[in-house]
Amino acid sequence: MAREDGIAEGGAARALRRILLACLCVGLLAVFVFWRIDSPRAERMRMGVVDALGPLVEQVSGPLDFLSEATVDFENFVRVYEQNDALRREIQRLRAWRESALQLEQENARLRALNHVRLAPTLGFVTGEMIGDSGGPFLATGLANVGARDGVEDGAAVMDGSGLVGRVVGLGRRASRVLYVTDYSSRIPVLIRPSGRRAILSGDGARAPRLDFLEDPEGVRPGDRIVTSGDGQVFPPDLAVGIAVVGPDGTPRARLAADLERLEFVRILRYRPDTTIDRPGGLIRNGPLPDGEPEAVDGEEIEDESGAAAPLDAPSPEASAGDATENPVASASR
Amino acid sequence: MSAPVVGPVAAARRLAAMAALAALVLGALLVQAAPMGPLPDGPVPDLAWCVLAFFVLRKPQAAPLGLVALLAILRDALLGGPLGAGALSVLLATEALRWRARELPPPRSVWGDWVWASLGYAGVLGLQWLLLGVSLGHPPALSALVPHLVATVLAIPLVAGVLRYGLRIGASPRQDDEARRLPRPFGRSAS
Repeated sequence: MAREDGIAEGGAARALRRILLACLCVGLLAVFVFWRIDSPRAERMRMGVVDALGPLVEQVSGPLDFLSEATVDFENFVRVYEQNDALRREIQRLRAWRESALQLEQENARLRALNHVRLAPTLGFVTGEMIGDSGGPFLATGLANVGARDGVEDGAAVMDGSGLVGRVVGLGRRASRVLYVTDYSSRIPVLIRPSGRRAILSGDGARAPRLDFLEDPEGVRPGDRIVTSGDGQVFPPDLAVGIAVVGPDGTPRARLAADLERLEFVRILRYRPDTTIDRPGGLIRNGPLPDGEPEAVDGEEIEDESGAAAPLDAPSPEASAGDATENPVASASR
Repeated sequence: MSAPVVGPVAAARRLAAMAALAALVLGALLVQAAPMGPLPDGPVPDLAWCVLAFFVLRKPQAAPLGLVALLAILRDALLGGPLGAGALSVLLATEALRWRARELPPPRSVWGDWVWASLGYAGVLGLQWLLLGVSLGHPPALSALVPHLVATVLAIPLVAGVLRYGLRIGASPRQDDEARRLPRPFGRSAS
């Protein structure tokens, strides 16, 4: 029997409905488990949906952007005289900075020429517009309207005009999902200048992320500059992150240089560190052996004159106590 | 006891209502996903949940289980939450609301529906938090969920008002007939 409002009440229909509900619950739980186990593949599938809906998101965000910018324009109009004064003072200050920067640049060029410094290749980047926010409490992410077709790579660093914003965690053809540094799962190795101390920038949902695993916190003063350290080779070194501050709970935190609240355009860096060591040094033979010597491939055992078998790349006892199971190429490249 | 005959008009109406639900949830998701640009950062109410809760409570025949599951997984995909956990929690919470709609047919207290929809959203957040924690993820602090809960609780009556009185969704046929019989300001009677 069915009521006027269309809700089936029959025993068979109810049983069928319960079975369907149970199947859906199990299926969704399986999707969650798949997402936790194999996140990159799940993110690729998710980005497929975002790719399909990307143009719609852009169309909806257009009028909302217009409204929010109109609000800001009105606020600026109200404070125009005040802002004018502030800008004049800022220009005077920047003129002095420009002179110093030019002098430093010339000095830098001279020193580099003297020392034959080989600089890392210039970073490439692609600029995109933020077209979406996660809007939920569980993830601090955003959607940028550039994707794989624009040369964006998974894991790439994302910056605004002032500092680090986050990294790409989902890549579609026309869009990419950016995990902000404030997200709970964001961890970035950083360097604090001028003390040179290292730390991990850990997002915890607050606007100023925590500085975890900080070596000797007493040596860090509020106002010290924080940059990426480049450890782990995910981010290039020396990207501006922010400055050190003391949080309300007394923990060292980073006030971000990037303005995550007013994020409109972002630069997604194309960084591929060219530091992979893909061949052994001269002491270890990598090619065919000369005539008369037994040929063997890496790891294969050969017999010596006494008949005892020993692997070619057997580590010394001292070395084997450490990381004997590690791939030597991977170890060297770390 | 004979099964009711569902005519083509009723079936078409139901399909139209389902399409309206899908379009409204998609619209709510797009608005939620749109960056607010230079506006101050604050909690964004879960508009999609507000729409889903309204339909399940007030027009349950337009929100079948499969459609709710599909929209919930779309919500997870577009908003970037924990994939699957969000959809599962939304599905279970809407089932709780459906149970209320079944056990307590209209007319029901609007306040009661509001409380149930709010509790449902608290359940949605709580279950996601729990699943993330159990699976060794990085769940946010519980205090971080409160602003989103409050924003959504406040948005529920607003969304319900827009859907009920703006789009006339969820009004019973008798209420619609009464509304049609009301005198119009310019004397033109509704067909």
